[in-house]
Amino acid sequence: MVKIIQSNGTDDPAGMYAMRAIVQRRLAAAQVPEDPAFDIGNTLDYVCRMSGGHVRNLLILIRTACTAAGALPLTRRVAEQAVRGMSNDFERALNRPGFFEVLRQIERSHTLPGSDYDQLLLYNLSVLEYLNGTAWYAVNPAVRELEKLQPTRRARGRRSQ
Amino acid sequence: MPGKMLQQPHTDINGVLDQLERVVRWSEEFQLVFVKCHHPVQQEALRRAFLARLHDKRVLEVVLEQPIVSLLDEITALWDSAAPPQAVCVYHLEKSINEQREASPVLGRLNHDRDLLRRAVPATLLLWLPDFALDCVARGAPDFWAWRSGVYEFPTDRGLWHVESAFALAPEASALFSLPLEDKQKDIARLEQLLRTARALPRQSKRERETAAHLAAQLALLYYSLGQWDKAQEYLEGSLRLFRQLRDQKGIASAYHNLGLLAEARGADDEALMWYRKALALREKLDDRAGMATSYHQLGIIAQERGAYEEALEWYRRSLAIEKELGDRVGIARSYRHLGKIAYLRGAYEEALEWFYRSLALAEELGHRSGIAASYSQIGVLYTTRGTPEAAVAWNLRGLLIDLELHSPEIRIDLHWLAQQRQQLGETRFFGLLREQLSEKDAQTILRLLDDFASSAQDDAVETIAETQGVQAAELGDHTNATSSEPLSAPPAVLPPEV
Repeated sequence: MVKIIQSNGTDDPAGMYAMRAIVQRRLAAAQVPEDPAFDIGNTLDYVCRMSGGHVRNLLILIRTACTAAGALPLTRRVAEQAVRGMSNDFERALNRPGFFEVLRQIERSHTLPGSDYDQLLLYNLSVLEYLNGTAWYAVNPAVRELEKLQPTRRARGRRSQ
Repeated sequence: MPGKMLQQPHTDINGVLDQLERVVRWSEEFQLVFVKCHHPVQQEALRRAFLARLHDKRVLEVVLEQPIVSLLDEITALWDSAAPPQAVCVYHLEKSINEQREASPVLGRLNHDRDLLRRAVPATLLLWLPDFALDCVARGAPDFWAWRSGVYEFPTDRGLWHVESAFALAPEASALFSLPLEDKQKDIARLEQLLRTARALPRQSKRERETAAHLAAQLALLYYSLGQWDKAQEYLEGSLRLFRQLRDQKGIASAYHNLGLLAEARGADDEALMWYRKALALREKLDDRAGMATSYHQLGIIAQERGAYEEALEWYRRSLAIEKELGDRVGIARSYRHLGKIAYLRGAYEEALEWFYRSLALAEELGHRSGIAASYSQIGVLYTTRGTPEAAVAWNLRGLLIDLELHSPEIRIDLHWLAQQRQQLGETRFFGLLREQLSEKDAQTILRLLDDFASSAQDDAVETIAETQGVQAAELGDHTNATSSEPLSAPPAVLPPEV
């Protein structure tokens, strides 16, 4: 796990640099320059941020975006589509209403509330643990996108079909 | 089940096929891909389209017709090392996800075997699954799920769902009760699949929600016909919720009535009466004549069971009048049978027999198997209690054979009366009468059933019978054309549910 954000919600520069470097090395190996790979600079940053610093999730997002787009560059729109798909996938495992209450608590406090669900949520990566320095916790950014965690927003649709 | 997203991703069938094709073409090593497709018929069309796109690739197809425990074993058994596939498509893994859902053994094995699978399958592994099964994999095999490269979702073909649902709902409910066990089970699987698909349809129209309510109600009746009360209750309550949301008064009345049937089957007559009255009040308000006839009928049964024969007769006559008015011949046959019961209970045996024969003739004309079985059994009961068990054996036996075939809860009633006849006639004479109708082997099977029935508590016996039903029915064969003499007796109270 790479710490890509700080507990106050701002980017962690070193972590973001490391995540970008992973993608850049992959691009170099495939002999693709970064510029034509992404439409604008912050699309790559967006993908890195939404991976939560989890390398496998980063690669899933990039791969999903590539297969959806069919050609480079990857646009912000296709990156957002990949994130929505990942959110859907996380939602499948979050089948108990109690999960979302615990997730809201973690989102507020950045600590584990000591519930029966803590370990399960860590295990299925709905909650990410950042260890450098004092350990703290954050809800996976893809999970944070779920409507159930955003009660103030109006529902605009169902899960994809 | 589906939740809510901020925005619905754009999906179309060709777009998803494009992506799946790229997934296979762009990889030469193990990767795990899930393909969501609800509908078996739609899946078949998509499968063909997908394979056509990959005509230049070697694709191994693994069709899991039966439940499995190890997917690794299934794939390696078919793997050709000389010409290794570049993609492996697995279909119907959902058949291995049983009532234990995410705790199904196959999911535990997938979680355990994921690294073995990666090494054994250096190709794109595509698992085609309906929505509920994907949820089960995510929850029951989290490590395996975590290795996915992507989940590609085909939108449900609504048109196809409408056509299939209309087809599934076409049979008259009364006909459901006359289906053989195997057909009932197939219907249950098909209806449950359609209902799952309905739940996954985004932005359901009113018509789609109505269809879903009727699918749930139909499932409840099928489970009821198999004596699976809890499942029947679950689906009935689900259909009632939907009918209430839709403000569908006719549907609500039907759900009330069927909840009454369930309560009655469980012996809760007061509760049953409450439901029947609620249903009748609504039906009278709606002037739903067919519904009123079934309500009258069930109220007649409750009155009859309480010994209020005059009241019961009045309900049955009212029911019969409407059935004749509507030309509902299944209903007419049922009313004849119940008029016969009242005559029997009042000691008017000749009249009772006449009603039973009239009911039987009509049920035979209609090919209404559960009605035929009920008439056979009634006649057998009448003869038994009139002291002529010799004449009764063939009737109850014929009723039993049909009920075994239908896996009907009435089996226990047939067995009860056959046991009475055995006791009255003695072992030798009873067996001789069985042999007039059956082969030696089949007659022995009946004796074993009766022994099981006698040696255990009634409920346990029914369970045993249910478990062995498939074997027994197969052993017995179809003897429903066996000859029999005339005859008569005290009928079981349970009726086929409303239809």
